[in-house]
Amino acid sequence: MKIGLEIHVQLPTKTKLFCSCSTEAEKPNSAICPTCLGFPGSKPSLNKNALEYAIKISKMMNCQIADRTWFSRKTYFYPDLAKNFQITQYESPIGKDGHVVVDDKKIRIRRVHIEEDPAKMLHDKYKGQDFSLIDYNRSGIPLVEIVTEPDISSPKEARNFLKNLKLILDYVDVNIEKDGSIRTDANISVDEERVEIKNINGLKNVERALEFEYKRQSKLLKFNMKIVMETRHFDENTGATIESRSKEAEAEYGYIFEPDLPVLRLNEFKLETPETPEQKLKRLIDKFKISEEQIKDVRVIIYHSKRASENFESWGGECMEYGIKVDVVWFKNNLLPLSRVVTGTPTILKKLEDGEISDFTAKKMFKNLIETGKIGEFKEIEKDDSKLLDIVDDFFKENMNAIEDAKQNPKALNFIIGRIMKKTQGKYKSKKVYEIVKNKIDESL
Amino acid sequence: MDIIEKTIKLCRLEMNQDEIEKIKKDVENILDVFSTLSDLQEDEMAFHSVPIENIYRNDEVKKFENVDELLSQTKTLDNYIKGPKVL
Amino acid sequence: MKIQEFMKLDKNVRGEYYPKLVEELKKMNKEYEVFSTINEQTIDQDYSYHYSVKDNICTKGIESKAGSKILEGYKPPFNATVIDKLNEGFMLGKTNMDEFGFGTFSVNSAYGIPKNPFDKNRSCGGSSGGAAAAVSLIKNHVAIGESTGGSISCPASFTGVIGFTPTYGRVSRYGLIDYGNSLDKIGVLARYMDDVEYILKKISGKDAKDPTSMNQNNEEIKEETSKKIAIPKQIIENVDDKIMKEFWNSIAHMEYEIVDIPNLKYAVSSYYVLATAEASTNLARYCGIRYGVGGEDFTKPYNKFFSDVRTNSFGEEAKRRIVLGTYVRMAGYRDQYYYKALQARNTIIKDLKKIFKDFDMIASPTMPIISPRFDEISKLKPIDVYMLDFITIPPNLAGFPHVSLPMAYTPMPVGIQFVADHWKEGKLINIGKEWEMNHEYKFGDLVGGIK
Repeated sequence: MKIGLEIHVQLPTKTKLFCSCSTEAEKPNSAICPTCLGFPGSKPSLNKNALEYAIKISKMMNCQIADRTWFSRKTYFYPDLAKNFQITQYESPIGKDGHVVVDDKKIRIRRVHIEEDPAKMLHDKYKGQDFSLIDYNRSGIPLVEIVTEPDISSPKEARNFLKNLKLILDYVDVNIEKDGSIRTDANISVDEERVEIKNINGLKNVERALEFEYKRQSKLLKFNMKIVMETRHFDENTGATIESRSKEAEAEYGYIFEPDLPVLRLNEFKLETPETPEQKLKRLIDKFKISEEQIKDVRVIIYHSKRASENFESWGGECMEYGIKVDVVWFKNNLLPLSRVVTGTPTILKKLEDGEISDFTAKKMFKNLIETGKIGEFKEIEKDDSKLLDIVDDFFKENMNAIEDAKQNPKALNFIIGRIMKKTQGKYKSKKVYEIVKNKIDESL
Repeated sequence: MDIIEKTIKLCRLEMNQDEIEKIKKDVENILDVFSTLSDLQEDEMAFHSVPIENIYRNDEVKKFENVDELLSQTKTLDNYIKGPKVL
Repeated sequence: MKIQEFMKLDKNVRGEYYPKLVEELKKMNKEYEVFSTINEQTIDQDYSYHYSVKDNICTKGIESKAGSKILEGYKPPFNATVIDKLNEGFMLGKTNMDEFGFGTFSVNSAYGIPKNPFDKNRSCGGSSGGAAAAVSLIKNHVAIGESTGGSISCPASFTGVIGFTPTYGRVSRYGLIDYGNSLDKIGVLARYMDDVEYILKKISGKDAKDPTSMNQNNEEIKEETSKKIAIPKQIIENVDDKIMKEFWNSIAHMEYEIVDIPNLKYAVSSYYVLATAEASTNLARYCGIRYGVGGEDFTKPYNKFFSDVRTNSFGEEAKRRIVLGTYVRMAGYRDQYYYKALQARNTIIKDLKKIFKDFDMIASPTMPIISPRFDEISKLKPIDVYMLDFITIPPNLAGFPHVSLPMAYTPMPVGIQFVADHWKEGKLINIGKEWEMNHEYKFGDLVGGIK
């Protein structure tokens, strides 16, 4: 099975690709101007930020960046196309011949280029609507198109590829949560003939569409029926791919150079190569002297998101300042789930490491830090255990059945420990409390 | 359908037989002259007559001040622009 | 009188003059069909001079139809940049032209065919025919025109006025309804070189809204003397004898040499391939939605909806160029036509630039013939019409600034074309001023005039 993907990603620029209209608009046809509406006499003007995004994405995917690139006109007639041609890149994409590695497999990237998004069309906003309604707010929004070679060999692999792509995009600050911000055309051939599924919205649907199509093609082959080379579209509601009503498959776009735009000499473009997840991983392992066993945990953090890896790096730096070990697992369990940076945790961790506070106290202080932003008072650990023995004795005197319950049910044991921890206000390490309570239970046979 | 007829259709133009015959003759005449371009030695392509390179615009929003004027040029419904149906 | 003199008049004199001028114009226009729209708006401020605009240049709130039925009633919601720059002038009206610029005689106009001031049975040339006629017929007037393959030079030559086409990218094309984006240039038609210079300096300059105008330097256009002239052998071999006689007479006192530029023979093909290829994409947008002539029945399948509007509203020449332009860029043909034409442009630019190393300017008659009669024109085949542009096409294809100056009257006007290197408008201004001192220009002079 061979799968190739053509992915269109909307870039999070403030303005459109060829005009200064905003990319955020609520009311239909409110962020429009003569250029994105294709009015006679209007001219395009290239958004530098969009170009920068495209170059960064190309570099992240290990593409060769073109020395010289230009834009092309792709001409075809459709109501969502303001000029009845789309400005795209044909002969000279910004990036080409790249690759990404997904689960140790190399997926080749044929090309990365930029183009403008067409308008949005509504076909059934009103009952019995027998015309189209067009909203040009979307017309002209910058898209990056990423085309893979047909190196993907299963719908699951496609999903993993897209997960990886999502991370790469995150690492260049391109977020694809918004509906419609990522659309894919998927080409899949189980045997010889290739079927194209056009315009699949979002990432999850790509795997769904491919799964369905794989099953469909396999079934046809099983019954010795012909697979027709065709274009289909994906129905989100039914999860099925459906034959496209013939949109006159004349792929005759008559590409010419776009004469209203400049030629771009990209070797003059000074742009930092953004750090890839793998590069960041290697660098942080080295920087924080991460042990062998903790590498897989760092990988989880790095591959979670750019934000998480940046939080980890700043937190790790803090730990190093305090001279405490960078405990990756602690970060993963406590700070990774947070959506914001929390500074100050290493002071707590240092006290814990030095045995000055109990883990219970540490947890409380940490919770307080997250909620109030302040560290608060350190409740020092009680060094003398004799008092604890008394407290435990008292507890069992008040709760006669507790010992029996604990013997039967390990959960009850945890409950007891929790109660005593609370009562002692974390003055004792939970480990110590466990020791003493367990002894007490074992003793009373 | 020959290539000229295919081209006419591609341009979204309709012509009757007489018009097609006439335009075929005209185009063939003209292309005869154009075909002399093949005699020319290969050279780099000049996209513009003067070099036009690396011109960009900063990513700053500028609202068009006459959006209503744009929409008043055509048929609209609830601020959507009306167009022909697409099956 | 020249613009600078007109500007010195008392503003009340001007204020009274304009409405009278408009009235005279309306009468004249019935006969000569120079304007598709005459500006009848009340004049609420003092305007230093008056000018007209070729109808493919957008004027806010005033119909801009580019000579085409498909833009009937279209009033742009914005001004072309050149219009904003000429805000101290009174815009008299929009001049008639060949549809979208497709033509050499302004006969392909949906709104009236301008008549030659010297002989109403003859063409004004094209595609800026109305602009040239306006300058000849209206006193104290300047016209904004546009050239893709010679559309300023040709009508200037046929009607006996100055037609100045600047370097490609010198004047912003923002608001110019596109014909061939890599070839279109906005320029000036006038009676005096001083007027050309004044207007040219006003409309030139970088405009961020048109990226192709951003390459020029910021220096002002400075007059430069020019002496040495090259005359291409290939050009003069194919011009009417009578015109050549006038040409040799006119340049007798100049320092010139005949040069050989064999690759010029590819210029017409290269130009028409590129121009029609670009035009066919520029005209794709006209389909009955968003602006212009609208489709009525949205329930029609969309391709039929588009075809109906386009078939009914484009003229014959427009359709021919759309078909031609689509053909030459189709897969399978693109290599031998479109890509080849781009290469030819490069070759010709290099060859001409070599000439400019040794010579200040290239000179020849502007057109190979005098303006034909309308009945003669209707007998011409399309390819014959295209070939008549063989003199104006090379500088247009290569983006060199060029000017057509009235050279002689046979009795029909005949022009001489001077071409300079990129950005060397100053040399043309210089030769134009000199030329003017030694030649007596004749104009139609039917309308206007300050006592």
